[in-house]
Amino acid sequence: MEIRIINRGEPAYPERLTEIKDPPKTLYCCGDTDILSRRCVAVVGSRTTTAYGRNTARAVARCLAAAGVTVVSGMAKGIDSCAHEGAMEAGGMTAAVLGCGPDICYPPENRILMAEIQRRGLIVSEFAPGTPPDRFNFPKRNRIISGLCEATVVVQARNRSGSLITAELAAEQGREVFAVPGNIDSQYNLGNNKLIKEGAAPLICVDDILEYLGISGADEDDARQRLSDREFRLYEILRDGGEMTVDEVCMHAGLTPAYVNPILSVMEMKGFISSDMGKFFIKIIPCK
Amino acid sequence: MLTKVRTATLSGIRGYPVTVETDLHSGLPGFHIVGLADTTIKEASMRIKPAIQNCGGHFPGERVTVNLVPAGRPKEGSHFDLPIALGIMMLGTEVIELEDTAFIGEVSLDGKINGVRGALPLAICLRNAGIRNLVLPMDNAAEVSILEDINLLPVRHLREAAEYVTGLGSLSLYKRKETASRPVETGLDFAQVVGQESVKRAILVGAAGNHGILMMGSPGCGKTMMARRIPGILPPLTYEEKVEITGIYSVAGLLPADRPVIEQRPFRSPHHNITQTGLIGGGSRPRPGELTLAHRGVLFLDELGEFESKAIDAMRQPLEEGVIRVNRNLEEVVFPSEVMMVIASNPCKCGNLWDTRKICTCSPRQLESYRRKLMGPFADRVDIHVKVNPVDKESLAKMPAMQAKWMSTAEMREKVSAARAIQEERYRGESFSCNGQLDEKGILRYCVLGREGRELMTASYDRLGLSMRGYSKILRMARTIADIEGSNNIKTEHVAEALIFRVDLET
Repeated sequence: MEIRIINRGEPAYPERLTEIKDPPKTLYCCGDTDILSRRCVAVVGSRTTTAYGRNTARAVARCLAAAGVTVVSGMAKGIDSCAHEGAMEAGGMTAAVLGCGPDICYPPENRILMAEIQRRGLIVSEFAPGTPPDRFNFPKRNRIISGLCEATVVVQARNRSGSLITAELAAEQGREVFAVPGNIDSQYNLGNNKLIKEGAAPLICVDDILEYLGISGADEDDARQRLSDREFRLYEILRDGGEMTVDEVCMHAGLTPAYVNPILSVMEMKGFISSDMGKFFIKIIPCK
Repeated sequence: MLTKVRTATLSGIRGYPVTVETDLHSGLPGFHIVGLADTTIKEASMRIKPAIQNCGGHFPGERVTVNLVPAGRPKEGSHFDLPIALGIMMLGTEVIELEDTAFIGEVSLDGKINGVRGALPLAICLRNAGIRNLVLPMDNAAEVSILEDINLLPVRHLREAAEYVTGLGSLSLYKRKETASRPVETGLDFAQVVGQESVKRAILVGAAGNHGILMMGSPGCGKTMMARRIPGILPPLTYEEKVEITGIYSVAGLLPADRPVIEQRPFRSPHHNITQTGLIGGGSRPRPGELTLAHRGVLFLDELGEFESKAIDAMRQPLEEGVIRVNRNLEEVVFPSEVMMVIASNPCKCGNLWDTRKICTCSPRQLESYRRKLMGPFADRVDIHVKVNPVDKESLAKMPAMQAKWMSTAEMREKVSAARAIQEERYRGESFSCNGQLDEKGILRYCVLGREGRELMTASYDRLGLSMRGYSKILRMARTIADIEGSNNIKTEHVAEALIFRVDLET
């Protein structure tokens, strides 16, 4: 893959990046650099996550990408990867800002994802090709993530997550920070909840971010139409209950697993729900 | 002067008949045993001489040669003591007709006859070879008494046996105790497991079709508790199965003295630091491993991620074939291993990955290596994968109405028995007897789907990226679910339910 070098001052250099305090001198890019001149939103979060976090990251990215917004993230494990995947699932644009040379895949497990982003979106880095992923590079690249974007959404972050640095930088750069509220009994949500306490805008439904950008959201999926009555009943239970195990669904519905299992399985095939860590949840978060 | 005494030896868990030939001829005094005898048999020469003398017998001062026929097959075991000793004592004496009598037993220096390992398989092969009377140690009589068509003549002392063969005394026939096969109360019941109905459903499917189960979940959510209750829902052992399992335990030397016949389905739960040999069996003289000891029962591997990769991989072939082949000097030994594999595992090394209230302290690399070990080719050969979640006590308390629907062991056993009966009927004359063993040909023949079912399978094929093996597994499970529901045809909902138990290699 060809690496394109963009220096500050050149017309291809992203305009929003010139507005920040210490813009990088050079950007090494792989892929379609035009997508940075569109509207951009960063979707970031921790590497260790729960199904709720990953699901939300995907949904937010999907929603943004479907509306034509470029989703920017850091290609780390967890939330970042989900954000990129969600954007590409919706057939939209996504850019990954790396903390190493643009020719190095870090973490290495993401090489398939990286190839896909390169093909359909953009890999960008301020570090010259061959630069190893040193620890101290990552906080530095966070300023580029937030700097490229109009807004930053922190989906899920633990107490000392790097994504909190991104949020802080975004605020310093005068960009909007959204945080997704999470259960307060879970350690995994401490960071994003703390951001809300400190004044970040809570993202209570996926539409919030589109509203802020002034774009109308994608059509809400009409679950009622495509699901049978039996299926819709369980759909409602999952929608109201959030992440649930099969046993919890059974208890709420007063049904046996023998009855519930096939229905959940068919709904999963239809793409309405998904399962992870032994729990089922609605894949598409309703907008209203 | 030549005598012949019949006995047998073990090869794996099977016996084969051996004739002990003893001859006395001129030459320097000596005692030689030939015919591929192992060390325990060679040592018999040292035991037998004092034993014969201590019970008043005469040990010849000439050259004694003992030959074990067939001479080309390896022989082992201390049970050769008695036939060899008798062969010597019979030299030059009048003896009764011994053509259909065989002898096994180990001799102490004072002439006492001790119990031996593998008495039952030895007796089985002798019976099949036409032997009517078996002289055996008293300690082994109860175990062998499960065989009905052979006369058992237990002995306590070499003298009794010697008097019997020379016609000076008689041995009394062993009186079989009426074995009332009542189920043993273990106190384990699935009704004690609350709020895990979906896992119990998966276990029910597994037991009904003899599918392997992998339970994954946080520590302390009841995986082991449920595994221990699985033998209770399996159908009771048939007579043939009891004989087979008792034989295996007899060879392994694991028969409890108070329960000489195995009446319960075995439940084996080896610790995770077991070696490969310990699991699949082997050694220079092959002994059954845990896979064979769990034959026709449950093999429970707790904490699969902690087992050695080598040990896990070694179980792949036995799991598919139902037998273990061990090659040892000159012979191939075959151990049966038709087990219901039950595996429990944490989601990660520290166990907290799925628990949102706790923090998982594993590094990404640890997570990856743990996942790879867990989800390797071995787990892929296990049909049912099920997630176990901790039970939320509060929501349980709120739902008293559900408690009436919780399945008990009795209910589950009934369903399993009914489903097994259907399978037995359907697979009469086939090489397999339950859905878990269906091969590709069997699947084509017996797992026919309707149009909707096929569509669902195609959709899942695309959506989940099922492998061909994954595809077959879903069909096998769907067949079992249909059998549990008493349906002749596999309906769409059966396929759909099977899909929920699929292997999720992503997790």
